[in-house]
Amino acid sequence: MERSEPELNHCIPKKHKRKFDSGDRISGLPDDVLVSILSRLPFKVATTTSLLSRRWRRAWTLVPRLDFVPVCNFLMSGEKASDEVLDNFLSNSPFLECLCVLYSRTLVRVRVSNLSLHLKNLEISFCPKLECLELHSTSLLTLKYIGRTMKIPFDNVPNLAELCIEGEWGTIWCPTPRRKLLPILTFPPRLQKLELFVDAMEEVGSTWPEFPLMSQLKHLELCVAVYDFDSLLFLSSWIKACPSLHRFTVDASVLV
Amino acid sequence: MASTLKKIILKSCDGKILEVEEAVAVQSQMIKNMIEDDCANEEIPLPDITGEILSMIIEYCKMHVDGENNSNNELIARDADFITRVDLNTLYYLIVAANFLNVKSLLDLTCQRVADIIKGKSPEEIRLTFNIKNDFTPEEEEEIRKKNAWAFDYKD
Repeated sequence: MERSEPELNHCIPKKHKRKFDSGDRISGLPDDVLVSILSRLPFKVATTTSLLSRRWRRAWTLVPRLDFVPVCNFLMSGEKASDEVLDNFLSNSPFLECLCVLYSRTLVRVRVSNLSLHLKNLEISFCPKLECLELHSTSLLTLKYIGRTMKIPFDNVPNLAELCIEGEWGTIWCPTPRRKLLPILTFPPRLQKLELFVDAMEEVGSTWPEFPLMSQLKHLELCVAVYDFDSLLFLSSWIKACPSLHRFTVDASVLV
Repeated sequence: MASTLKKIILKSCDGKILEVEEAVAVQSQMIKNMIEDDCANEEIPLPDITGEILSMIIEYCKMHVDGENNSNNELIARDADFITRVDLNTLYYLIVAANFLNVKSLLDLTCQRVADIIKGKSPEEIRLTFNIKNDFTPEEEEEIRKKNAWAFDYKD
């Protein structure tokens, strides 16, 4: 009868046992080697290694560049990307550089703190329940947000250089008599590129509020839907507010 | 000219002495640094590397030096052939040695091999493969599962 391997091991005299016993050597590898191994795995697989043992629990959080596509895809199904999960993920990922959260139906609040030391690029899109985006990060350089109107304070993202806003949020930048410019306009001082996608402009003809002074803005891109009687003259005041502007694009589609 | 023929003498932890051409030895960044600092004129003791592993590493480095003029695909095929002949235990010792000697391409190759072995396995299968002991309490394990629930939707 064939013996299974553990039984065979049992028969080996103790002093030779070490040679035949393939103990857990991989867990004894230095951190940087474990990180190198984990960085070669798809993101989700890397995170599942936190279940292996205490040694592995936090190893994956040291991986500097994670492949985030699977997360985005995963979050499309939604339910599991809750506030708690995202908080936990962010506070355990000090080397994270890029995070993209899409299609979460449970996400209400996103908190980015300076614990995410290396987070440079953040996208939060199509999360319909999202009410609050708290950004405290000196490393954050780009932010993309597609979603409903909400107040995003930019006071604590001093180095933000690129901002892209789409969806309902964008419309508040194009004020109408009925929809006044919301008091959202605290700006990241170093903003260089601003992309706005504006759903529709209504009832043109009122006084356009001043566009806040953005001394470093170099690139302004506006995607706007207008009726054919709308005027885009108000944009001249925006341009005046951006003394460093050297690229300005308006992509207007006409509604009928 | 003389320097290109220079031999570097390496001594494994089990006393095996290996003479290696400098061009091969400098595949190891550690040895390269030693040569540059003029510290490689006598035999270099390698405390944690057995003769068997050292021979494999030299074989690998030699393959890369000799294959410098070969196409990339050819080298990749040779790398693949080299690494798939290696069992898990040897793989581990190769990683430790490649890390110590700082042979980057070999460290990349061995780490990639471990990653490839991990891919497609559930945590339990990974533990079995590498003999990793689950030292979590059931409560701890449940907590990690809960916290990272979004990632753990693989099919058991």
